Order: sequence, then structure tokens, then C-alpha cells
Amino acid sequence: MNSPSLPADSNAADAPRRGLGYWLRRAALSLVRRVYALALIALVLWVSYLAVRYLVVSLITPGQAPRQIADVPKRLDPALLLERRPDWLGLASVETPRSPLARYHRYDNWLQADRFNGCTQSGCHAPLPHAKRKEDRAFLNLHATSIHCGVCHLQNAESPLPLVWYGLDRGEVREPPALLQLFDWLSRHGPELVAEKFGEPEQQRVGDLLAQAGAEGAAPSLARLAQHVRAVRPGSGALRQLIVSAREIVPRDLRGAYGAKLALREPGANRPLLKHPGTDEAVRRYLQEAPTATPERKQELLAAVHPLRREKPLMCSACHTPEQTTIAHTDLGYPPARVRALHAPAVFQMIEHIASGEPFYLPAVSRPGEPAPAMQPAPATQPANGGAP
Amino acid sequence: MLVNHRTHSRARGFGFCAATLAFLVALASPGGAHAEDRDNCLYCHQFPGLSRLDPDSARVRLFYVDPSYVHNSHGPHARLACTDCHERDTVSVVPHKPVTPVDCTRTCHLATPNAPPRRFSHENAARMLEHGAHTRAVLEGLEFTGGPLLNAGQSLCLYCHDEPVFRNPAKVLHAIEDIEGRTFDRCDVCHLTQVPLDTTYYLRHVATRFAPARSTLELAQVCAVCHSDPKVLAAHDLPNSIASYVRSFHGKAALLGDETTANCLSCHVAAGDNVHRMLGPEDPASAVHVSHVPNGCRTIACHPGADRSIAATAVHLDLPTARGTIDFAVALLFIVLTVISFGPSALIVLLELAHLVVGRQHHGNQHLYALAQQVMAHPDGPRRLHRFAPRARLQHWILTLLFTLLCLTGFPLKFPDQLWSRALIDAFGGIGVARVLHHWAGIALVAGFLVHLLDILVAVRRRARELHEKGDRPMTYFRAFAALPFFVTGKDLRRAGQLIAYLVGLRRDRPTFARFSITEKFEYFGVLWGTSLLGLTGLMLWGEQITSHFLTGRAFNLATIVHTYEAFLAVIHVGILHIYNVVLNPAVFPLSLATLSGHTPLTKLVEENGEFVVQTARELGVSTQESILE
Repeated sequence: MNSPSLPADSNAADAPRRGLGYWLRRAALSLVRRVYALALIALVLWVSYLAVRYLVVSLITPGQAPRQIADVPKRLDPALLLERRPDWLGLASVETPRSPLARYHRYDNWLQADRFNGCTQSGCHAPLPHAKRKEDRAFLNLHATSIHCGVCHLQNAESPLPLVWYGLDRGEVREPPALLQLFDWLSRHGPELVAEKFGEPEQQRVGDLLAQAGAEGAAPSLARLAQHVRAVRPGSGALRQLIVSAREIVPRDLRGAYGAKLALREPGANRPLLKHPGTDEAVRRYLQEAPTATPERKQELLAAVHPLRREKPLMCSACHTPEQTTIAHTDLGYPPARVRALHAPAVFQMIEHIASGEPFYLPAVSRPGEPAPAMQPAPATQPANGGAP
Repeated sequence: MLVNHRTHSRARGFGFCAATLAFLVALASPGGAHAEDRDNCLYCHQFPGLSRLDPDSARVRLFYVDPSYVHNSHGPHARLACTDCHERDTVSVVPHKPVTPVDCTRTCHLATPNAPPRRFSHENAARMLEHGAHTRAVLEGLEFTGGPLLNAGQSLCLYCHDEPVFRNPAKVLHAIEDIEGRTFDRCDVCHLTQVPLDTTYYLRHVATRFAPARSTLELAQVCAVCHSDPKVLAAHDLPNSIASYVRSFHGKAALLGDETTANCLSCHVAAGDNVHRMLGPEDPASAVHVSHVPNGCRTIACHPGADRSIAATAVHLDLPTARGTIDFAVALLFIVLTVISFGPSALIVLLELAHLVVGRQHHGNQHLYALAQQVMAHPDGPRRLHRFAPRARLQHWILTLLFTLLCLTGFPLKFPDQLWSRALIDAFGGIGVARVLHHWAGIALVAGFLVHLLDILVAVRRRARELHEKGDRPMTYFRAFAALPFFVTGKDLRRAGQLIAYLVGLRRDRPTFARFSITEKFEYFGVLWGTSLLGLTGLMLWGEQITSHFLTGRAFNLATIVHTYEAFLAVIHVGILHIYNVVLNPAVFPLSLATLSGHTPLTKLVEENGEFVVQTARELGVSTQESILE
């Protein structure tokens, strides 16, 4: 399309009387027009190319299942631990997405990937690093969702350990997880207070914490409960009933999926210590040389990679103790009820017992017509490794 | 040393007994265990991180069991104890012994509130499988691209099944949604005390059975495990049925969230039979055997009023693998048509833009411009130089609105796997609403088209009468029709050649056209042709049950191809070329006012429709030079 030439020609006759500003404006306008035309050429060519390519491809390339159908994880590969569930369109597209095939049980809450854990992101350690001893490896990996490797494996002489929460979204220090705060609030508003009228501030607080906990990886039911809480009238019986429901549901969700993890605080800074400081080059060298290195050289390389490594990692009883000498759970925002549960000796003593090489028989519920539950074996003898997990 | 050892051992023994006791207490506490988890396995298995990497298989061994499934009775298996499936001997001790793979055909115990546990087994399903296409031998022989999907010894049922989940009953039985939770209140009047029954559980269980166990898309995901895996397809000489399904109307609707459209089982499982006895199409007993397909299509839920001929529709038509068929030929024809009709128009636009880039200016015809000004000075001049009458402009804007609505509601079906498609359909309120809007916008478009044809007939009749009154008798109607301004004449074609020559620099002056330029005439014919085709095929597809009584089912495939490719042609023409001409063209940006007022700017009129100016001048008696256009 040409510019309307007739009026422009009539202006040209007055050209000698025009000042510099006029000619600059005219030149700028001309430039804009040319750039605009050039952009339009590119746009028309691009869109035309896309259109023609689509037509040709639709006729000659055999179709494939679209991502909404094919993009589902079919195997429980380690890579799944580095991604988050919404990354798979096939899972996000359906009402009740199925688990990877080899897994029968529902898998709605995916393990939360820790993109800031230097130990696993470096390529040295797997996201589930404990794999050696059958007796305790799964139990130890259980902690990987809420505790950074460094808490147990990095040197620190302080007591209790200087710990901070860091968010799995940004890797920065943050406040305690919403789920713990919510549990704390609900614990304080116990059964004796259920009869009270919950006003707007309480409604706001509980609604926000429920929504945040849902967004941070707790069960989807919490997010739905948040919607309900926000929808009812303050002071109503419905709100009270919802809070009663929350008191029942929330404790079940305290399973370490908080959207945040505990880590050592970096000395002199308000940052989590997420890897051995200053070891990037050593890590690179290790990964490069380790496959062909002699055992001595490998030890040398490993020592360079782990300057802060604890000689002996912390054991279960170091943290699961009412004295809170290693982890000050209360200071870290754990509500009293949760602290009591974490410090109950039963489970970790059981695990240490198992770690010593002694089997532990579950207290099975007997049924009519079935044999009585197996009896617990005799107490364990001295464990080979002193009970260290 | 011995004493020390014994003392230590005794101390440990006491500690361990205390720990065991505490463990049992903890299991009985509200936060630790729940009545549904009869074996207390969730005490450990509720933690998402309970897992490890298996270095041998390079797979994650995930021991997590979602406790909400059990606590909230998300499915029928929530009533099972873990040891109903897992061998008690292997899992009752920690660390567990090497577990025996679960055998889905073993007998389990269904717990009911007011009755002793009942024995149950899926053995029946396993037996049925042996009578279908998916026998144990077939499943055991599956080899997948990238290696096995199941662990050694795992139940083959896992290819299709995972932990069964009740669907949201409110989505199945809308009455439940309407009365919210009150259904349970009414049931509980009796079932809470006198006849104890978990009404919530049973309602969800029964409601779920009113709909397929999985949503349409989930079902496609299940079937796609094998039926879109290249290695499986090659080994069993199968087509990629999932890919062709999503190219069908059913599959596209499924991708856009339609739960009422046909899923894999709708066609492949006969009424009265079940999925475990699914057979291949060559088996006379198969639901998709050629003799049974017509009845499958004509069920009450699908196309009840259709003729048997509807079964001739190729549901799994995938054009790239259908070479040599009429469907492929029609699609190819439309693609060629698209390229040869769109190509020249696009070339003209690109060359005009190139002129702008290089700064080539057309020095317009000064005499013609002066003549146009004289015509405009004539009392009747401005009206006569109107290129678009008010009625035409109104029709244009109605067409614009309907075309836009049709594109917005129709194009998601063409690209259903794109995220924007689903978002767009959801914005309309779902596929059902979008479909209704598309149908009625199409009807309105066809109605508008008929009104326009009526306008043309009226104009022809009026012109014929004028000729008749002038005594210009022979073939008045034919000549009146031939004189309609939208016909492409030999002169138009000549001018088009001159325009190309001008745009590529082989000619100095830009040719000018009559009332409508050649590109406008092509666009107009595109609308006539497109509306006819789209309207006809759209009605065929909408009224498929009626159409099937007159045409073979194959016509639906052809109608779909014609409808979709013609719509695509229309969209790229309008979206790229027409939008350029009336919006993006610098001469009219941001919008050609001719579409609102009917007036074309004088300079543009002189440049593009000079013949129209001259003709109008002659009709008004304004003096013109014979050679003004030369």
C-alpha cells in the first residue's frame, strides 16, 4: 500500500519554507512507517508459514496422542523426584490422575522437589540418598522431605543447632510452615473453646493458613476447606463446625510435606546453608575424575568436596528427645502437640532397635479364625554399630 | 565384660519393651491410627518420603500410601486391610521380608459395619480376560518403548488399574449437588442407629457406578499406555488408535472436557458385556465387529434416531494414514485450494508492504483526483461515491460478529490439544454451551446469507425492470444478473495482472479498478462460497441422525473435512489478509471507515477505484477526458 500521494505532493511544493523540525518529524514518520511495514511483512510471513505448515503436517504426518493423554509419568524414575506434579499436563488434565503404572496406590501428593539442595542438585547424591541399609534407609529418606541433609551431616558445634526454615520455592529463609502454624492455632483453640464464636479475624487467619498449607503441598482437602471457611459467615455455627473439621483433618497432614525444610543457618548470615561452601570446583573435579580415580585419589577428592562433613552423622535420638538439645523444635515453630509427638521415644527407639539388626514385629490385629499375632522376639543384643542409623 | 554386656542387654531389653508399649499406645491415639487402617500400616506408610532409590532397577521404590484414601473412604479398597492384599507374613515384620507381589485374584475380606467380613475376589475378572483380546499371554508379552513399565512379578492388572477411586457423586447425580449434604441427613435418620450403615460410603459407591469409573480423558490415558506405544503397536500390527480417536469429534470433545462424548469403552464394550471381555474388530462377537457397530452407534445415549448407515463413518480416521481414500483426496484438494487462493492474495499484501519499506510512492493521477473532487462537489456526488450501502454495512457487521463467534466456539475443536482451546471453551461455560452457541451462530449466519441472496434477487429484478422499461428487452434478467458489480470480468483479470506487474516493478503506474477491486471481489466470493459450504456441512453434522437416513456415514467424514478445512481457509483469509486490508493497512489504520460510513477516503478511492469515479462522473454528467485512466 502506497501512501496517499496526491495530498503529499501538494505539500511538497511548500517544502522550502519548512523548518528542520518538520523534516525531522517527516523522517521519523517515514521510519516508523517502514518499520511498521517490515514488522507486518514478518508477521504475515510467519502466520502464513504456520498455516501452511499446519495444513501439510495435518495431511502427511501420522498423528500422535496429545500431551493431555500421553504426558503422564509411566515409571517411577528418579527424575520424578526433580519435578513437580503440575509439570505433567496429562495429570493436570484429569479429575483423578492415575499413578505411574508400577505403583498401585494413589499418588496425589508428589514428593516436593528440592531445587536448592546442593548435595542432590550437584549430581553427587540422589534426592533419596540413603540406600545402603535395608533396615533404616526408607526411614531416613523419610526425613528428606522436611530436613536438609546438612542438619545431620554437616559439622556444627552449637547446641541446639542454629536452624532455619527455607522455602522450596525460592530457597530463602522463611517463617515456619503454614501447616505448623495452623496446627498451633487449632491446638490452642481446643475442644473446650469450640463453643466460642469465631469472628472475622479468626476466620481470616484460619482461611489464610489453610489455603497456604494447601498451596505448600499439604493435602488438597485443606485448600477446599479454606474455600469453605472463607465462604461462611463469621460467628456462625457453620464456621465453628468447619474449625472442628479442621482440628480433625490437619493433624493427619503433618507428614513432612510443608513446602519448606529445616537447614543449618549459614554462619554470619540469614541464609540457609544448603551445600558445603566453596566446593563448586571440587565437585566438578570429583564428577570428572571419580569414575577413573584410584581409591586414594577418590578419598582425596571426596575430602575436598565435603569440608564440613560430620564425622558421624546425627542419630535419631539426638533430635527426637524432649531435651531439645540438638533441634529446638519449639523455637522453630513446632506446636507443643507436635513436639510431644516428635519426642515420643517409641518410634525412633524401635528404628534403632531394627537398625541393630533385630526384626520388629508389627502388632497385628487378630481376626476371627486367624492365628494370633506374632510375638515380639527377645530384646536385642548389643547392636553392631551402636544403634546409629 | 560379660556382666556389662548382660546388664546392657537387659537395659536395652527393658527399653525396647517400653518402646513397644509406647508404640502400641501411639497407634491407638487419634493422631496415630484410625479404625479403618486395621493393620496400622499407615503409622509409617503415611509419610510421603518413605522411599528409596533401587540402584538395580534405577527406579524409586515409594512406600507411601495416601492416608486420606483410607480415612475418607475415597474408594472401595479403603475398606480393605493392607494384609488383605499383601502377604501378612512378609509385612508384619520390620524391616519387611522381600514382599510377594500382590495377586489381585486372591481372596480378601470386605468389612461391613453390621455384618461379619465377606470374602471377595477378582478372580472372575481374570477368567473373563481369557475370553477377550487382553489375555494373560498377550499382557505378559507386552514390550514397551523404553523398557518394562511394571516391576517383575507385579500384577498385570496394573496396566489398566490403580487404586480405584469413587468419582464425585455430585458430578454424576446432579440432584445430590442440589440438596448438598442433606441426602445423608435423611438417610441417617434410620441408618445411624437402628440399621447402622455408612450411608456416605454407599451413596458414593453407587453414584460412581452411574458413570464410567474413569473420565473420558482418563480412560484414553489408560488405553494409550499400550495403544499409543510405538513398540507395542509395531509388535501387534496395530494403528495408533489414540491418535485417531483424538482426531475424531468424540476425541476432540473429550479433550475439551466433554464427559458425555463417546469414550473408548462406549464403542468397544457391548451393552450387557464388560471391559474384561473386549474383543478385536475381526471377532464376530466383538462390539466393534462390522455387524454390531450400527447398533452400538444407535444406542439411546448416542445417536438413537440414526440410520444403520451412520456406522459407515470412519471414527478412527487419521488422514495421513488414509492415503488413497476419498477423504484424503478431499483434504488434499482443500489444501491445494487454500494455497492457490491464499497465496496470490498474500503475495499482493506482501508486495504492497515491501513498497512501503523501500519507500516507493505512487504518484497518483492528478486528473482523476480533480475529477473525483468535481464529482464530490456535485449535489448527488457524495451519495453516488458511496461504495457500501447502509444495508450492506449492517450485514457486514453482523457477519463480523457471527464469524468471530463461530471462530471462537469452533476453532477449539480444530486444535483441541492446545491449552488455549480448553481455556476458551471453559470461558464459554463448557463444551455444551460452546456447541449451542456455535450451532445457533451458524444458523444466524445462514439466515443472513439467505437475506443477502434475497437482496441480490431484488436488485436483479429492479435492474431487469429498468432494462425492460427502456425497451432493452432480450434476456433482461440474465443481463441484469451479469451486471452485478461483484462478478470478476476480463478487465478485472487484466488489471490484476497489471497490479502484479506494478508491484514487482515492471510497470510504472498502479492500475485502478471499478467499484470493487479484484481482491475485494475474491473476498466476497470467498464469503459466498464459504458460507454455503460451511452452512451445508454444518447442518449435515448437526443433524447427523436425519442426515444418516439420506447419506452414507462416510459423508460425515467428508463433511467434517470440508467444514474444518474451509473454516481454516476462511480464518487465514480473514485473519491475515482481510484484517490487513481493513485494519492494519497504514492507509486505513486503525480501521477503514468505509466499514462504518460507506465512504472511502478520496485519495484511496482515486488510487484503487478510479474506474468507479469515472463511471460516476459520466452518470452525473461531469465532463471527463476519454483518456483519463490511460
